Amino acid sequence: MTIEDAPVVKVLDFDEAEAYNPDRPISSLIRTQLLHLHHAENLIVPVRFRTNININNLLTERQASDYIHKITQLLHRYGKLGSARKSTVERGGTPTKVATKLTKKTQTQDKQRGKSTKRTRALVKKASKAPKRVQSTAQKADRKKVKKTARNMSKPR
Amino acid sequence: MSRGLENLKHVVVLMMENRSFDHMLGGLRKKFPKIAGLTGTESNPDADGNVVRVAPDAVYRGQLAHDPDHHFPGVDLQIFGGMPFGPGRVANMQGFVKSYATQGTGAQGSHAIMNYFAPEKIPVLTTLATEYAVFNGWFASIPGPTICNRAFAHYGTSFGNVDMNMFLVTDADRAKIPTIYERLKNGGKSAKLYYYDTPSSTMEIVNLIKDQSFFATFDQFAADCKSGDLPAYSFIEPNYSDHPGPDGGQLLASDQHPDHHVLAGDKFIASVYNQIRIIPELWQTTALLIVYDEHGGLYDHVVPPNCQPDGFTAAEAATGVPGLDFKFDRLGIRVPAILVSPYIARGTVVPGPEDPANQRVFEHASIPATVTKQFLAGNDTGTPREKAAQTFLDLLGDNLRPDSDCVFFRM
Repeated sequence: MTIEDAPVVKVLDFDEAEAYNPDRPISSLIRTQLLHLHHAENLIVPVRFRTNININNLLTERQASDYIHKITQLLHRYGKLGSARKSTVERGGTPTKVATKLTKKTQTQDKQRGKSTKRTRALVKKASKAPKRVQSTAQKADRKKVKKTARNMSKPR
Repeated sequence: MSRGLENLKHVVVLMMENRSFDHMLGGLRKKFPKIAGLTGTESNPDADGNVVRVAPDAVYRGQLAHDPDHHFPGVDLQIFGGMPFGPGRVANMQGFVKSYATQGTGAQGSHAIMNYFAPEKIPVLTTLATEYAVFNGWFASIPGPTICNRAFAHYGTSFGNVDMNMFLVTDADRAKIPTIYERLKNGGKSAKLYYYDTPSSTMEIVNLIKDQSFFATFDQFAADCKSGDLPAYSFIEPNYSDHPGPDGGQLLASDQHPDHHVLAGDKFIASVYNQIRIIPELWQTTALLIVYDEHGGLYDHVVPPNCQPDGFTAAEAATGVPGLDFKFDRLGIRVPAILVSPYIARGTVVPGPEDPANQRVFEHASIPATVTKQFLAGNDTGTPREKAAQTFLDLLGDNLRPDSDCVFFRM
């Protein structure tokens, strides 16, 4: 006897494209899910990686599922540490401070290369006005630390 | 111990959303009289005093666009017909139409709450109910909404919650009352909660995220079935929303929560069943429970019984019913529940309150109670409710039904 011998029951077909309605207003269940995940985001995800999405503006299933997707991914990334980690910025690495560090590094490199400080000043200005780039660098460092900590946590003791 | 129980390696629970027993399975009584469904004469008064009878006129989508009330005060109205809390109050299941009228349906629209599905309209659920075991007396754990009811499946309690408010379980709470996943892991057994995908996710991720090993998506469930890596205990959550798929496709909500398309859920149930059914070794060593978290405000004719209090009290402010401090001593409304295994005889009907001499009453605390009993013999961490709950694996017998006797669903 194999599965081929099994009596077959046909699942009813329906027009799935017609049934699909991601713009349906969210139910109280999904509203509650948003509240839970928003709370978890604030509890677990480091400040700099939070979405800053106002969940009160999420009215449809499409909007809600997009937010839920983002937060679920973030919770998987940061949740294993158990609590909100302080981001690089919170730990004292404000954009200005990071920019200053970059300045010193660039100045040293420029001096070694015999270049003028004009380029250095321009870079400093750019760096201090570009928190996005600074954040991106810091994000990578933060992620590496999270991974390293997670690896250490998963090692048998 | 039966042969079916000796061979059992996996318990899989699929928990759907918000449909009552009578709404989904009530129509089976006509052909299968042992199933405690509808006679066709059950009725409720509407707000104007007109009699509204049950009717096999439920449709897949559009009829329940106004979400029926299933919060504690709404369910209290449904069960007690609007009688205020006080001594001598008797449950009569006469407030469903009145309750639905409060949701903005209009008088005529409120009658839809009495509709049920003709069995042929949802062939997967009704086939499984008649091919394996159907429970006449499986009730939601609380006469209230989703979150607190689902908590009973994970913890055996809702920690005193009866509403949809933030449900956060602290480490200290879980040290005293661990989830079934933690219990199994601590006992050297495997457990996983399979949520559909990240845009659908799961509420439990908030409480259990520290241990990522407990979570996977439904795609992984399929892969684990094929690779032989299915854990001892699996809990599956359906897709809770219509949303775009990763490849740009369209994913339909499969939870059957009103007003999601009911056939999408029927198809999802078939896909879970088929994943197990097609692998002979898995099929013979797995028990699949399909159950709904609560009734979703939809009509059922059976009065919920009293139960073992679980040691918590929800104050009047939380219940929203004047004068009622709820002691978790009464169950919620009846929901569909079906147990599938090739060791279950076709047409098994587990008697409920319709058969007082033989009745067996189940609720969601029966899930951790059963899994604990099966995989963690001697473990004593359950709540009073869980310890008092009926377990269901004794339904597996000695006789293995051949492949030619166990259905397969063609998509």
